[in-house]
Amino acid sequence: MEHWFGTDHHGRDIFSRIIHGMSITLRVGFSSVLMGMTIGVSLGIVAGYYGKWVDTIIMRLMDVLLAFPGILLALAIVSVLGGSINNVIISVGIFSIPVFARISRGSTLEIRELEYIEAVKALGASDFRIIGKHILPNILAPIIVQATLNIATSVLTASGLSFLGMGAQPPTPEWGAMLSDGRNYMWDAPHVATIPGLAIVVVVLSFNIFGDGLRDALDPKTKN
Amino acid sequence: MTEKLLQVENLKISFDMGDSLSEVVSDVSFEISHGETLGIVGESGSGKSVSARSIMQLLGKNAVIDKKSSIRFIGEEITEKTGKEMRKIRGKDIGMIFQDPMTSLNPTMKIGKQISESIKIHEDVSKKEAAERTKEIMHLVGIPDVDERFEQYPHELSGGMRQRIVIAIALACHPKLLIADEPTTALDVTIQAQILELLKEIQEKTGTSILLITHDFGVVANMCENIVVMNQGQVVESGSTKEIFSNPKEDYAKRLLAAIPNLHEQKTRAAKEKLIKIYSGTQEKVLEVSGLSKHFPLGRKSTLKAVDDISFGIYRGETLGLVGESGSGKSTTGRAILRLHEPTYGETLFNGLDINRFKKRQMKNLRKKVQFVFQDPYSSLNPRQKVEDIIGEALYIHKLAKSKLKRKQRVEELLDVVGLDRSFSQRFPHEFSGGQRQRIGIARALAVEPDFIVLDEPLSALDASVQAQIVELLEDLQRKLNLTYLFIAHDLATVKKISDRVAVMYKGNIVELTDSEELFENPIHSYTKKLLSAIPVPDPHYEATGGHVSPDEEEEITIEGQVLTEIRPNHWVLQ
Repeated sequence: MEHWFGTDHHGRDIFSRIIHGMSITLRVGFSSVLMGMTIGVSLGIVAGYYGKWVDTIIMRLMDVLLAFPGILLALAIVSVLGGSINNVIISVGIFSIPVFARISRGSTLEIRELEYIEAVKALGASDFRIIGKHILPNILAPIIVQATLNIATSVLTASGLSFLGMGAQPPTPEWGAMLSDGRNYMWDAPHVATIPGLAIVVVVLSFNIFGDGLRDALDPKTKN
Repeated sequence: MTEKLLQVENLKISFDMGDSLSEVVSDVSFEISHGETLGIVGESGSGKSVSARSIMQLLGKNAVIDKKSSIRFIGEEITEKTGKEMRKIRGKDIGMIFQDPMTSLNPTMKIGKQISESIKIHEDVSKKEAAERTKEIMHLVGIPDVDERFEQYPHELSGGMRQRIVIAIALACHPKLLIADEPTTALDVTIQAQILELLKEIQEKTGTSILLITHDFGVVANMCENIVVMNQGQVVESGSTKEIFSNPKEDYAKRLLAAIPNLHEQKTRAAKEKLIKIYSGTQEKVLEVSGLSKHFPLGRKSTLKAVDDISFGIYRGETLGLVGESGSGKSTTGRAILRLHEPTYGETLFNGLDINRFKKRQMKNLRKKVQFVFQDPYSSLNPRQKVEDIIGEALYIHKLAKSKLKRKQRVEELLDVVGLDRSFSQRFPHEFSGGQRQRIGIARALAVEPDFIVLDEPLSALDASVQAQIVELLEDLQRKLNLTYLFIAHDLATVKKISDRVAVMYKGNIVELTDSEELFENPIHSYTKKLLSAIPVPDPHYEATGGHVSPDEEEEITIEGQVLTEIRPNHWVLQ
């Protein structure tokens, strides 16, 4: 058998398109989460550490972002910026900022009250050093878990955007776009649409299971 | 021979650690007669709590009681009882009082209900009858306005009142044995005195036996006829209280007794000379605080005056003790002086300059001169840093070490200074005991070679024998490095030992300030007197006099609009 997953309406090999699309999907997943995490964690720590009006402004901004359903927000951003893979990364990245901001703010509030933070303040450490050297390493565990789980969501949203024609444009072998293409031949050649769909399911499921496992491994409270 | 109420023989308890058994209690035997109070004394990790919990069969699932152990309660073997049979004994025949009244009550349940709960579980009584019995018991444990309290929730009561409720719950079914596991450790000393007095009264009235577990020799001296001293899971000494106090046989008991600070100890000649120098005005002031206040906003309108317009000076080379109960503002004062909390008003002159006006850069330079040692040796060290990085942090911040190697050498020197092994520098905080951690905290403070150190309750989380070692270290460092200390504590006895002068704080004010001997011999302010009389004296021959304070005679001490005045030479009292 030459074509493992068969071919599509243009005679292209689906298997090699899926493999190629994998790199796009993972790139979108990882880079958007990296972006959302970097911005979100920075904002969250700053809000939690400084408190008062800084906290209020940052967190209200996050509430505004959270008020929109994820995919709708991403759609709005992409329609403003124009459809391309990079714009998908940016829009998915923006919509994952609030989750990271909330988690890191919460953990920062907890850590900031501990005496070792006061101790390094008494030694004369700058805020920058306290945040980078003493707070960040101690709140990293929950953030890493959230990042893994968020990759799954991002992959799903990115494929969703491409499916709607707002993301990767044909002939790019993006899974969402492939799914969208195949939908026209659903009755004659169901495999053209189902195989990219299955690929998305497998990737999303894997990251979710991995994230859950990571949470259990990093959190001593959920052991046993 | 009359039958004993409780007989524990060859008790051996291990914890199942998965692949191995770790023995925590071995060969422990003791007995309690009807109406007797037995004290089990030991430091943390001595197995005293585990032994007591085994009587209630309240150990975790991984605890294994050895087959040869025997716990006989009124002639019945407890180790052979099933879970169901034990539930009938717990709360009915044996009551238990826990350490922390803040966490041992259910915050969502009314007080009356919590007490009557165990009556309803164990006895077939009507609701009305249970409520009546509850009120009776509340009256017995000295709770005023019973009808009103009955309908209140735990958060509406003070710590002392809550501990009375916990005792009431334990007493609800008239138990034959009351197990009190560190019943006063979480309480202030004046409230501790009340609770201990209450336990004595209850015993007189009801004739119940009490098993009192504590680390404090002062507490057992006046409470127990007999004591058992435990160390590392074993009984090292047992017998009558008087005998052990006057003539301890084993080294361990001797050491523990020696570690208790003695209130009647005289000052050394060097200490007296230091005082003369301070009083004659020849010693310069390192720090002078005037009109210092720290207010915290409580909601929109009211403010909490944690520290309210206090003034004092600290002289070079001296230790000023700052004593007060929880909420007196002593820790806030220590933090406000170093601007860890920004003071609301007031001046803090350090070497003649007001540090409250310092800009960022000046503050950073000041941090090299003044340092802080924290109360909790567990939360004051970053768990993800190696000891080398914890102690070396300040060297990095102030660029005090030219190279990594220099920094390492300096850290090792500091470890030597505080009496720790150099190899510890590569380990993480969780590998150390409380005392070792506190030494690391002290080394961190010393790294910048400060002149002045605020010590915020540095001993309160440590065992008595470890406390003595740390005090020795601090005194030694003071002599060698000419350090000046502000020593904050709630424990008057330790303060007396280490301090040259003592300031007593009450509700954000200093109510009395004088040298420590004068303060203990001639306390003038009524709050100081109350505080002094409440200290449990570690001497079984000494019958506490005047230390009995029951809640209804607790009068409010007014301090509104009063000023600190020099009543006798160098003896200042708020009036």
